[in-house]
Amino acid sequence: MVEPNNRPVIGLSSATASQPNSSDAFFFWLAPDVIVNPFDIVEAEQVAPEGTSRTFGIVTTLDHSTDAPTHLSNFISNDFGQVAGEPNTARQGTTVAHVAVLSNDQDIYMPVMNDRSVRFADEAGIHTALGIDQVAERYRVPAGLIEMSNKTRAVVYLDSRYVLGPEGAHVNITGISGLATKTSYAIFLIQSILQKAEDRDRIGVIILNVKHGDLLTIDQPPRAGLAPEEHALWEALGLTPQPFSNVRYLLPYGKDTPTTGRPNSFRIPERNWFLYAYSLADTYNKLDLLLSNIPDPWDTVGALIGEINQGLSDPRTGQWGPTGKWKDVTDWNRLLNGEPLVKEGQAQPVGDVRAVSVGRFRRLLRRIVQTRQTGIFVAHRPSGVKNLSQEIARIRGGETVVVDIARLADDEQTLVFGDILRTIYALYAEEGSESEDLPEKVIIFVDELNKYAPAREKESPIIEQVLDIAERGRSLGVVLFGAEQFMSAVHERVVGNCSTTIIGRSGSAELSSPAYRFLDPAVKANVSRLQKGELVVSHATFRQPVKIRFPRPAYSQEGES
Amino acid sequence: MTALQNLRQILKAISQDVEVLPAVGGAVEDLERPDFEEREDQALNEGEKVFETIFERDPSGPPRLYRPVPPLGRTEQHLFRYFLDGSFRSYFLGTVLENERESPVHYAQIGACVLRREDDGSMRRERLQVKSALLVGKQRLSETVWARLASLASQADVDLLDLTEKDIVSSVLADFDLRNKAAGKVRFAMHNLEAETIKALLPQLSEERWMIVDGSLLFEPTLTQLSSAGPIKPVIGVAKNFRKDPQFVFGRGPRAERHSIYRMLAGLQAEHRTAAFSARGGEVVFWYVRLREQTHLDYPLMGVVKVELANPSQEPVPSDLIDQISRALVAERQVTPHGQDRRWHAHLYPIFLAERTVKESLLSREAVQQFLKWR
Repeated sequence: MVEPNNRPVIGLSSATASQPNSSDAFFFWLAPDVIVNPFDIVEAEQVAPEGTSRTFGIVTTLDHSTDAPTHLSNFISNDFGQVAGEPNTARQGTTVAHVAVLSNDQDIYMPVMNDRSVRFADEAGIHTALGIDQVAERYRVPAGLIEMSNKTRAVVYLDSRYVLGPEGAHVNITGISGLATKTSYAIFLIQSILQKAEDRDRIGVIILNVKHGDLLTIDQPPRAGLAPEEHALWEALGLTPQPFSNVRYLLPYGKDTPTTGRPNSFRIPERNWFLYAYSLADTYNKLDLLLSNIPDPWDTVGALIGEINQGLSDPRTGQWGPTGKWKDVTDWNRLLNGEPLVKEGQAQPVGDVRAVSVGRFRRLLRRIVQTRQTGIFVAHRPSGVKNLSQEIARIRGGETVVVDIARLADDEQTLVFGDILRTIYALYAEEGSESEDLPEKVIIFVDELNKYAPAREKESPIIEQVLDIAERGRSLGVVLFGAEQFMSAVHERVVGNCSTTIIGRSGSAELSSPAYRFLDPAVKANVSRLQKGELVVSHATFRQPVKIRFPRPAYSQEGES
Repeated sequence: MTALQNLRQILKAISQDVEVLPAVGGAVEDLERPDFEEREDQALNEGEKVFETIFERDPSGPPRLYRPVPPLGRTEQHLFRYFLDGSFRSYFLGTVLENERESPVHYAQIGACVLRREDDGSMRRERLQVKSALLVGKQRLSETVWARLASLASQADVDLLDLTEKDIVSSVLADFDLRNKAAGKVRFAMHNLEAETIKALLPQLSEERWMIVDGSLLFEPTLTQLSSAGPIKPVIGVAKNFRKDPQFVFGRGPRAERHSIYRMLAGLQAEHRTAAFSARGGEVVFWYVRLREQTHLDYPLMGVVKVELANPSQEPVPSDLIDQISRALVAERQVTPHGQDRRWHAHLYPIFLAERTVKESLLSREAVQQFLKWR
């Protein structure tokens, strides 16, 4: 049955006494041989003051039922359990699709009546269904491609006002590891923003490379080029498959760096890379971040950090300038082993902090900056080795800064990430945006967000820093793209402030946690079956999450053939 | 719905001519009698109780009381392509009073459906016919009122049926009053509709494309159609309920074995059939086939169907043909309407679907009850 609109009817809506259609959902049975999958977007004929309207919906589940009232009936039907042989008559059965209503093109939310034609939506219909048609062209950011069972494709656009502010902000990407999907998607979305967003020249990007060296060559094209189908996917999205341009890499100083000159990184970018390290002068006012992971129920560590911060600051400028009894504290060794913390080998009380607590602080700090450090903590920064905070503050619109922390210890990673957040936050919130060359928006991408903003943790300096960005970044123009394996492991206020949530394949145990309560149970079941390269996108302006595909990154990656 | 609108007009018109005692609460659905098929079988074969003629010929040897008939599935040979069943729903609307006479008034929707089975086992509707009928006792009303009813009914495309007219089916209920007899009358009308359907389908049938009719073929005009001169028509009647009083004689002379139907069917193994017997002087041959193992069922007579085949030549029918039909029938045991029909053990699923198709196409009880009012 082909209608004037040339799209075949795939089934008819069905309402029964026990399963009525409603304003929010309807059912339809499928014509034989029609294939429909969850996340397909369909349209059903609906009433209208004049003519008909279209109610769009997304298929959530499919059931097949037969007229057999029990499984025993089927057993008996097969000659009491004979498995061989084909039944003479096919048992009457039908597949019924459950559809969650997305929208109606004339804003009519009457339940879909019985026996109304149902078709696959076309691209324009999909945009209407998701509310994308209401988003002005200039705010559209391609986020991926919907590919339906009938091979219809439609570009899914995010509303940039809900990604970069001011209406909403932040993107959270979750899913189990091993599928190389989360980072690839984050980078794809950033590229999409940099190619399509309004005022893209005034957007700065900071990417933290937390694993291997994949993100250390984002300005290099893939060695073997992109596969033609990936090219086609990029083009279908209206994007150009190209590596990042204007990239600056900041790589950590390592133990071997003084002899080899090489950074402590898995890979070395071809160009435009700089080393960074932390001397005491660079760190004295960030010790709270460095010790973020230390339990401090009585705030003794916090109090001592406050004393040290004060002692090492020049009271006139507020900048580095040890004075008084702190005047000899110029490097890590002197802090740990000299006065005022230690005298004649014994820990000394400092301010209200007792000697025993000072001793504990020394042990903790020594372990982090000396015993187990990767080389990033130096007595004095050699010339040419950068101060990370200052480098971050130099960010300009259209520039991408990649900060490598992959080989750093956990505490060092926390320091670097916290340092970046604090620097950016200070630039935008505390100093205002007076500086003309400051980007209008800054996107910060970090994987393993759960390390820095874990759920069910008491407040810590790093959590507070992340929360500041999550809660105020929207209005400041500071946007956090976070990724993690388990969204349930991330602080709920961070996740709750993300206007866009991207979900890759996840286990059912994870999906049963309250973090996913915004997902329909049927959608959760589908999320556990997602393939590589498939994601479910929940966006502030979408009425239901949708499943998308996205292309492989257009830059050189480790292990690529 | 048009039929109901027409009928409502008839009721309104007639209630102006005669006094009416409407059924309390509107139309009341007549209940179906579960044993009707068996009683019909009895009525149709009233003259014959003892069957002693084995009416099949097997060149390979003497007739046997039981013959194995292993299933012959659709994938090997797709013999049965069409399946016919009729169904109805009838309602008591009230009683009309004309002087000292009275007659119940019933409304019925009667349907017959043929389903066609495709090569992949899926079913399609080949033909579906549904009629509306008004049933009133002609002899209980004046000619004037009957004539007016006839005129109104003909304008409204509704069949007017006389409850007092005798027929083979409603005579089963001869002892009952007209109201109870209505059910038989409606069944009779249904059999007539089935006969019409068989006639319409006959040109589509062939030796490779047979049709199964639910129930007996002994009704007229069905039997006349099927036993008219020429080869055997590719139609069989399959009854899941049949009379339990006949006797069967196997063999001749002093060694002849006499079996009650119970004894004969108790000895009938699964995937076997009985010898074919003649009825109506050879015009029809019939036999029994056991579809399922007795061990799975509650009672020896369960899982057995009676098969009838019209025999125009009135000569013994080749055993091979009866075997072939029986084997194809045994294969029909997969699928069953178990759980949906208590007669599942002997019910053929395509016939069940044909019946269901008719039922689904009838107006709902609620619609009839709300629509059919006298005023």
